[in-house]
Amino acid sequence: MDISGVDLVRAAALLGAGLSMGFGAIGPGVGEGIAAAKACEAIGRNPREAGLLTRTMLVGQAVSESTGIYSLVVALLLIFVV
Amino acid sequence: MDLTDWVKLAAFVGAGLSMGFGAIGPGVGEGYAASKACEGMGRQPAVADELLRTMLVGQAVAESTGIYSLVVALLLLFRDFSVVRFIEVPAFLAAGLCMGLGAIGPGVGEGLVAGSACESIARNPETSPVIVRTMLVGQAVAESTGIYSLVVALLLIFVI
Repeated sequence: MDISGVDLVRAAALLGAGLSMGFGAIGPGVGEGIAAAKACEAIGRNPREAGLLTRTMLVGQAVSESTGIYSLVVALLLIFVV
Repeated sequence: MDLTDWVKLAAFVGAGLSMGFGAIGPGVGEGYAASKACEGMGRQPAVADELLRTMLVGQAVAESTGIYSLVVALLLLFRDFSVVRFIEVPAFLAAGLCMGLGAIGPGVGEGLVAGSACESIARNPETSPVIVRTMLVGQAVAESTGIYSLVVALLLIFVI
């Protein structure tokens, strides 16, 4: 088989896409889970603040999600644009 | 080795990476949930049913990324290799890495949520509806990166 430099660059881009989204999904998944876990714990201790806690949890998770979305964007760029 | 062999090699290694890495997160997370449910039952045997139910619901959600990993691995294993292209070699390896590594975080994170929900229900059983609701909302957000990983893996398998 003939593999040119262009093929290898494309190959590297696709591998990079997998690595980007794969590793990039670890952090937000764990972090958002910890946030939700502590929110459940706090609601169990103080149920009257459930609304406030749910709101705070979602805001915190949204921020924590951001790096996951960066990973997705970079992966899609590597697959379709580069 | 001709190109078909290389593509097969990549698909099989990719399947192993996907399912191997993908099993880590849900395994750890669901174990944590079970440990917290046991702890809670030891402290509050009266709410054992509620704890068991919450544990199972939470574990089912934490399991989801493990199932995505299995799906990606099976898709790679049972492909039709009659027509192959070079670009499928990196694409299949990357699909396996993407789904496998991507399943770790949501698996661990969602398991932590399920564990804490069990802990809280054992401490304060009357609040269990609001705790289960919060657990599911939190898990849904934590799931998102797992779904991105699945999307990217499927793109790498079928669109490239």
